[in-house]
Order: sequence, then structure tokens, then C-alpha cells
Amino acid sequence: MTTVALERPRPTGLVGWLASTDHKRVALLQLGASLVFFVASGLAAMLMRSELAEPGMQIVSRQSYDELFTIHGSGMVYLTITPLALAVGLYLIPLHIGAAELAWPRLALLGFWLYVAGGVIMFLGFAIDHGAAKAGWFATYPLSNAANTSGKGQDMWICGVFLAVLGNTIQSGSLLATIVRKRAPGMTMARLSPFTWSMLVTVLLALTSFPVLLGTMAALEWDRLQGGVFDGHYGPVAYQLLFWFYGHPVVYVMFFPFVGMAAEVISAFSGRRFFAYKGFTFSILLFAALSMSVWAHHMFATGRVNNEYFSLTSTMLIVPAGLEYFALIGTMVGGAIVFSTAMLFAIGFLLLFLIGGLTGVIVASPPLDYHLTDSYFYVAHFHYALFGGSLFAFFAGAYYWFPKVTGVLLRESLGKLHFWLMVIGANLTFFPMLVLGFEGMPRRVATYPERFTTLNVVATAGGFVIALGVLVFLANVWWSLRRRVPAGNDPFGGPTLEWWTTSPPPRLNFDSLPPIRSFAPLFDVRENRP
Amino acid sequence: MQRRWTPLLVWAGLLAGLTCLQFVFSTNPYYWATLGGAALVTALLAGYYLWRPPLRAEEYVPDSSYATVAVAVGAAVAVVGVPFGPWLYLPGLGLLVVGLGGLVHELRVERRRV
Amino acid sequence: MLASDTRAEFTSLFSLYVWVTIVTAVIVFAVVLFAAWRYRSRPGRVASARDESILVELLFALVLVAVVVVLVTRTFTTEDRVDAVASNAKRQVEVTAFKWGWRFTYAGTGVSVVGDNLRPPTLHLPVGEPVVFVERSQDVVHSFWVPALRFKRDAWPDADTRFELTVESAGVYAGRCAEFCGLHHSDMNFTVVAESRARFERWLAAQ
Repeated sequence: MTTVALERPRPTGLVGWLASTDHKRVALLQLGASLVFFVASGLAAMLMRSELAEPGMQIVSRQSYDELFTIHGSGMVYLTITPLALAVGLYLIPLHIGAAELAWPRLALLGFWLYVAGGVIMFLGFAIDHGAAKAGWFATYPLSNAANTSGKGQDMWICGVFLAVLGNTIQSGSLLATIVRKRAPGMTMARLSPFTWSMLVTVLLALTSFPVLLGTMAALEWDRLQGGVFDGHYGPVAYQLLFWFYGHPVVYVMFFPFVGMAAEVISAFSGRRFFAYKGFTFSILLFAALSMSVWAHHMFATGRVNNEYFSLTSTMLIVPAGLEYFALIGTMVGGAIVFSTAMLFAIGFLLLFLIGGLTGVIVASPPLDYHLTDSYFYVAHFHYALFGGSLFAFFAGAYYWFPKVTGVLLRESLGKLHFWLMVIGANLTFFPMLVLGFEGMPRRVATYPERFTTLNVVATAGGFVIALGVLVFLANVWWSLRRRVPAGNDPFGGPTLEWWTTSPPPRLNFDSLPPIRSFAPLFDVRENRP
Repeated sequence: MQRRWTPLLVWAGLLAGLTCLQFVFSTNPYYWATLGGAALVTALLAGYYLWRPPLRAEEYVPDSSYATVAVAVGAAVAVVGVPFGPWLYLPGLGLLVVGLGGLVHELRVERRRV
Repeated sequence: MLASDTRAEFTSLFSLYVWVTIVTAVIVFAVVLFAAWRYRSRPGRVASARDESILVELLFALVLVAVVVVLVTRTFTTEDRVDAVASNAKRQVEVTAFKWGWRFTYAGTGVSVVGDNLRPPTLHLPVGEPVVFVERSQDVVHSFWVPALRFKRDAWPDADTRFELTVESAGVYAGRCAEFCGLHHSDMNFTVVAESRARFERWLAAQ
């Protein structure tokens, strides 16, 4: 099948970008938007950490603090990491499967604008009477109802979340159709790259759980406007059960694409085919399926759910997670490892995500969770998983694929500085939280007893180190784009199809394709395998 | 036999199995309806890809779509208009309809080219 | 199984989990860092072409399943004890949570202690005796947390939640609200005073 772009002069300039249906442009726009929301949500965190450096209120009011942590969490989950994960897929999936374009490319553009609109609406809450949303990123009911949280800022949050998640869902549909239908000849499902497999399960998670969030947010807004949805017996519990049915899979949507990126980086920089491919693909399907079944583990301390089923399925996650580590580490073993910045971030991902995962195993046990949930232990758990995990793996991918996307290399020296700042910053910020939570500091508090001061100061210092690391990354991007050291098609010897084409790729991605005989077609080409 | 829908069916099977496992512990419909629903949706997607018509030999892709942007912005304004009132959601709906019309036009033009 | 020393149950189960966690972390860190050093690229180093090791993988999967079985079994048995609430409890305290404070009512005695974020209340409890708590909220979801007892349970507006606690050593302990409930969530605290049965009875009588 051949793909032809419509014969019309390609719109140039701003319009050419903002209304583009080239998957690469939409992906880059989405990446840019995610980074803007990342910085905005990160600034909220910096304000929070500054406030938390000392007990008592010094910098912001209690109400503002509540808005800050709500927007920090919401901005990161709905507006940064989820769209970022999908953006990476939007860019790379057609390239990885040898396709010229996405299936239904207009859906990707639609999803992008819905997401951006949602994010803008959410943040506009700050400009409204009564301020932005302040009921946390999951808006527990009845706190989030009209009586307990007044002001249009909360309604705008609900609308913003609805739009952003709607956009994500629509893009997931396009990506699923692309993976299933648009593979080049020879690219069977059994030859998909590890990254493509990780995106496949990601979009399945999104398509089957995100619509529940859409319904729940619509219902919550109805409740705020008219009442009578969640306010009866079992209503507040029902709200949480429905919310978390989305709320757990979304953290895997925020994880899988990045573990896929780490897998590619590890393979490329170990000079080795990805190890235990079959085990990896089956275990990723199991991992994703299990992650759909664990959601009420967020509700162990409620006393209103069946803890046993959900702790059983949550603990079972150890099996596919362990098998994924087996494949990732197995790829390093026997390799010829080059310690590029990308590889450093991938190794950092392996070690820091591990802490997130192991603390996750701990809180998967209800008797332990009774103490640890809703405390800073739990905050540490998910930050190790999302920051030490997903974000580190994202940076691994950024240093690996930046040359493909832009045609120029990122500076390695600045990259290594960025890496070490992030490692130090992440551990300084989040490790003390494990202790703080265990010792009795609840989450979402604007102040705390004196005895928690020292650890909070350490965490705040760590936050500033992270901020510095992010600045170094942004400086690296800006400087590298100015310096323009050409990358060529294949600067790192990667295994997958995108390294066959130019950097950046042309409009329809490939002028030709190599023979596709395995999940590492470029390795085959270089080894001259028949 | 085309294998493209197999991972979807495997996943639907895993979800169905995990739904059945619930009944050992609880029959709460909030548990099985959501997870079972997810299994069903996945199975339907697998079925769609098993039976859907094959792709055309030649395919055109657009370079831009203003209509899509209009649909997105219209929908966004309509949604945020819900808590604010008709003065906001009606124009949003209007823009959405215009965008949808534009989309229909774009798709017709594309179909004529093929 | 009636009385539940939640702190002891937690400590025992937590030690198992921490042991598993630390062993796993040490092994993975060691393997990754060793592999990074041993298989680093150097002149003459050729990467291995081997792309799977099914037997090792299966054995590893079995080990993982065994770990799951051990952890789940211990968790389920511990949870049965921690969640159990005696039906014939001698002492019962009704906990009412509200924005932003607590009321503790000692069932059958007419004694009630109430406080808020400006003047936090004190919950007196007898040492060594199981106390059943019946918890409810007057407005939003709150959560009764005593870190020293390693236990928290949410308070709901639409139904009671019940749990049983036994404080094993006398002392003064912090109590917190652990479910975000709005503006003064950070200050919705209480104090637990655990004292000998005799002192507790004297305190109760004096109210």
C-alpha cells in the first residue's frame, strides 16, 4: 500500500504547525506543551517545597497551598506525563512500524488541541474568584461537591480534566489503529519493537479505562450543578471506585511508554538485541492486564472495599515486573555498554524505579498500607516511580532520539551534569519522605510538627537541585540547537527502523525500507543477515 | 491467518480471567462491571480488527486540517460553558458544528481524490 | 481472635516486607552495577548474540511466584487479625470527624470529648485493653490516624466504619487526620493518652 500526501502546497509557518496533521509535528507540539505544563507544575512544587521548609505558614496561605498541590498533581498527571507518553508514541510508532503516517491523523491533532484547551482551562482557575481547584488531583467526594468546594475554579478543573483525558483517549484510538493496521510488509506483530509493544498496552489501558473517568467527571459536574449523583448512601465510595478505575491504569499509561523507551536505549547502547523478547512481550500484556484489576488498592484504608482481591492482584504485579527487569538487565549482560547520557538515564531508571516498585509492594499489603497510605511514605513511593522511573526514562529517550527529531546532537557534557543533578536531587527530595511518612507526616499538609523540620529542609534542598537539573537540560536543548552538530541518520547504531531514514525524517518518513526480518531490523542490516 | 488481533484477544482473556477471580472474593458490581466491561471492549476491538474491510491500495493523508482545530476549540468552549451558562456553551456548540461541517467537507475532498 | 495490637502486627509484617525489599534492592543494584562495569565497551569487546535464556527465565518466574505466595499469605492472615472487631467489646468509642476536629464519645458512659483545629481534643484510652471504635463523619471523608499504633481508618458521612485497637504501652501519642478535607486539614489533630486502667477509670469518672 502506498501513502501519498494530498497535492496542495504544505502550509508553512505557524499555521503549518498548529493545524498540521503530520504526526511528527503534532507529537512535537504535544511534547512542547507537556514541557510547558511540566515547568508550570514544577514551579507549583517549588512553591510548596519552599513553604514546607519550615513549620507554620510563611510564604502562602493555606488556601493557596491547597490550590498549589492540587494543580501540581493535576498538572503532572493530566497535563504532563500522560500527554508526554502519548506524544512519544505519536512520533515514534509510525517510524517503528515502517508506516508513512498514523491511521486517522486528524484524530491526533484533535486530541492535541482538546488536551491543550483542557490544560489552559484548568490553569485559568487561578484567575477566578475563589481561586483554582483545591480538592486534590482526584477530587474526593464529598469534598469536591459544590457545598464543600465552592467557586468556578473547581468546575473549570473538572472541565479541563475531561477535555485533556478526552484528547488522550482519542489519540490512543488513532495509535491502536496505526499499530494494528499500518505496519510495513514483514513487520508482523511478533517483530514489533519493545517500544511498540509498550505503546500497544498503553493505548489498550487508555481505551478501556479513560472513558470511565470521562463519565465520572461528567457525573461530578452534574452533581455540582444539580446534586443527586454521589450524595446518597455509598455515593462517595462509588465516586472513588469509578475514579480509581481510571486512576490506577493512568499511572501505567504514565509508565509503559517510558519503560519501552528505556528498553530501546538499553538495547542500542549495549550493542545487543533486546533480551528475552518473547518473555517481555507476554509479561507486558500480563502487567497491563493486572494493572487494570488493582484499582481499589488506593482505598484499603477506607474500610469499604474488598481488600483481599485487590491486594492479591496488586502483589501479583511482582511477577511481570520482575520478568521485565530480567529482560532489561539481560540486555546489558553480555553487551558492550557505552555510557552515553541516554544510557546513564536508563540505568538510573532501572535503579530508581526499583525503589518506587518495591515501596509499591509494601503498600500493596493492607495492614501495612493502613499506616503508610495518605502519608509522605506514599508520596515518596509514587515520586520514585514517576520521577525516578518515568521521567528518568523519558530523559534517556530524549538524549537518544533528539538527534533523530532535530538532526543535531545534544551535548554530552551538559547531559552528564543534568543526569547527576537529577540523581542527587531525586534522592535528596524523595528519600526523606519515606522516613517522614513512616514517622507520621500526612500528605497534603501545609504545615507539620517541629520534629519533622530537618527532613523537610533536606527535601526542599533536593527540590532545588532538581530544578537546577531541569534548567541544565533546557540549556542543553537550546545550546545544542544553536551549535548544530549534525547527527546523520544513525549516530548511535540503534536497532529500529527510524535510524534508516534521515534526521529529521521526511514528510512520509521513509523513501525506502530495509528488509524486516526481526524486531531489530537495523541490527540485521548491519550484520548483513539474510 | 492474520495475527494482528491476537494480542488484543489475549488481553481480553486476561481481563476476563481477572474479572472471574473477583467472584472468589466479592460480587460488587462496581468491580465486575468495570473490569468485565473493559474485557468486553477489548474483545470487541479484537473482533473489529478481525472482520474489518481491508485497506485500500492507495491512501491519501492530509497535511493540515483547520476543521479539526475548530472542532477541538468548539468542543472545549462548549464543555467549559456547562458550568458558566448558555452565553458560553452555545457559541462553543456553534463552532463545533462549523468544525464538523468543515471536517465532512475535507473528507469528501479526500475521497474524491482517491 | 479478638484483641488486635496493630502496632505489633504491623512491625512483624513490615519486617518481612522490608527484608524482601532490601534483599531485592541489593541484588538488583549489584547485578546492574556489576553488569555496567563488566560489560562496558572496550577495545576487542564483542557483544553476545544470545537473545534469550528460557530456562533461567522460567526459574526466575517461579521464584517470583513463590515470593508472591509468601507475601500474600502473610498479608491475608495479618489482615484477618487487624480487621477483626470483637462483637462483645467492653469498651467502645464513637468517633465523629468534622471539618476540622473530632468528637470522641465513650459509649454507655455519657462522656464526650470534643475539640477542633484551634484546641485539639485528647482521647484517653486504657492500656492493654481492646477498644472498639465506631467512626463517622459529619461532612466530608476524614481519616483517623494514630501513627504510633500504625493504623488509620477513613470516616465516611454515609456509613459507619468499625475497627478495634489495643494500645500496649502507656504514653502520649499524636493523632492526625489523614484524608485531605479542606482548609484546616493540616491542623485537624488530636492527642492520644494511653494510661493504666485505674487512671483511665478515674479520668472517665471525673468527666
